[in-house]
Amino acid sequence: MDTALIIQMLAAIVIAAAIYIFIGFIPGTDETSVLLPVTLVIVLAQVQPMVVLAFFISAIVTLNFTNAMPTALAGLPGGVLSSPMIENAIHLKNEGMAAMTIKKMAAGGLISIAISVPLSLLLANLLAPYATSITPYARYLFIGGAIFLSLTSKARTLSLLSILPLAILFQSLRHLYWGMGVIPVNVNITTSFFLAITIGPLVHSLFSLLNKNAYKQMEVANYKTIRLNRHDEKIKTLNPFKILTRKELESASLSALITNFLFVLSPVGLIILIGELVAKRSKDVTESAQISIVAKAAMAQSTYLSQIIIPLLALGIPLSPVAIGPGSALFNAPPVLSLENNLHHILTSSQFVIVVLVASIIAAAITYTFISRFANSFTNFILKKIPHEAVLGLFVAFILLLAYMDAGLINIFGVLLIALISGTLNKLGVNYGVQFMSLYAAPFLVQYLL
Amino acid sequence: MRKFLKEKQYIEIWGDVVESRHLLFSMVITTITTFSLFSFAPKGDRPMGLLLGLAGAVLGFSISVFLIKPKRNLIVEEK
Repeated sequence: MDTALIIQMLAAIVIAAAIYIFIGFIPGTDETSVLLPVTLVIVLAQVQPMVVLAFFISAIVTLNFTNAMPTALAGLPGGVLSSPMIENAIHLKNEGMAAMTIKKMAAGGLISIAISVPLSLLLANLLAPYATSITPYARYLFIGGAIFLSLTSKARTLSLLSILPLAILFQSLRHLYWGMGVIPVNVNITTSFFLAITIGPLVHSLFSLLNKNAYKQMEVANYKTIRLNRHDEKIKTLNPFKILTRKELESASLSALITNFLFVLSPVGLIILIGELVAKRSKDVTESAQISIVAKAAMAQSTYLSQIIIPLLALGIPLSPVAIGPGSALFNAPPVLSLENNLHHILTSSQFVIVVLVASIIAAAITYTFISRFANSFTNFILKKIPHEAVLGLFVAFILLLAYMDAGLINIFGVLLIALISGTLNKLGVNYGVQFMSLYAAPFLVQYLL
Repeated sequence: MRKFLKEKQYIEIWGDVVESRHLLFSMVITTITTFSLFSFAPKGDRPMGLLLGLAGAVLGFSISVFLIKPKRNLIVEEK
């Protein structure tokens, strides 16, 4: 490793932290939509693989910290992973504890990083010798994942029933494009389909605006009123062990630990599942909300870290929801990276370990310090300056661009079709996890129907 | 649709309040800036296309931020 490379890596870490501190504070910025396009640009620009990895790790650590801020302070979800935290966050805010909540969530995240980085590196190492025997079964893991996530979701039967129709939807569009010569046969469109699922609920809402009855339901008389508590300066320390109570600390650590082993399951699904379990540790409503939100903040970090580190280091195939979604550019970004030649194959294990450690430590240090000091004033600034309209406009433009780049004009409407169906299913209770797993299992699933 | 464009109407979408005309404006302007910059990329140069496209999206976002006022009443409570 020469000096130039080290400087590039450090620059990538700091730049990622700066970009995603800003993005994370903006409410409603969905993780995949803001991570994937930027990572893809960096990969396609042929930036050194170690620098790419450093950037990505720093980005996810930063984003998962800062997404908690609008959630705790304004009651607006910072990203998809923050939506399960909203209920707790609003309760704590109404108790006037928002400032305390931020510090606790940040502390939980920090503990989780300290657990997840070494643990997932270790798990990856243990798993690596079996990579060649696991890889051929990946298809069954995706199918099994779709079924498992359906069974653990609230809309069990509906989720199970939607797996095959979704698989047919994805494959029919691919075959249409192949048949029409829009894209070469066996080039699998995934990026824009993935984003179509992510943005489905938004597209569904936007289309509902065109329906008179639905429009009336979404109409409100006035601006949204958001109450911000002034900083209560009770906790001055930055030491997470002093900020968290014993129960919070235990719940955060345990949740982080367990989710590392469950790296093939959807982060949102895990956060809801385990977040509700740990909430039962206290009968007191406020204490229970605190334990739950700290554990959820911890799991935001642990799921993202383990789900990118384990598949990338051990297997080289995207075998987790994060690897399939926001991190997919690290696995497959033709013409630069492919499933046969990606960061897994290019980087040695020691390079990988060093980059992950350095990037997560620096990013955590920068972001943790930033939010401990400026969370309130920065949230205030963002809520005053950044209109929700601009954020939605940005997403729509992103998805149109990526759809067009994947397969031209026809794919804009293809993506619209997927978004409408996914969005409708989502509103009915079929969660993202089931839909993403169906997307990845689609090529194999339809074969069984012959 | 006509009513949608003529009157000032607030709607709640994705957890926050927007004004319908402003939302339409932001989506249109950001899409235009995104594809305008994207069109400058040489054909087949995917990285450049994506980079310019993203730059266009950020440009459209900035224009929207500059022109549109957030529909939020911030109340800062002194404790």
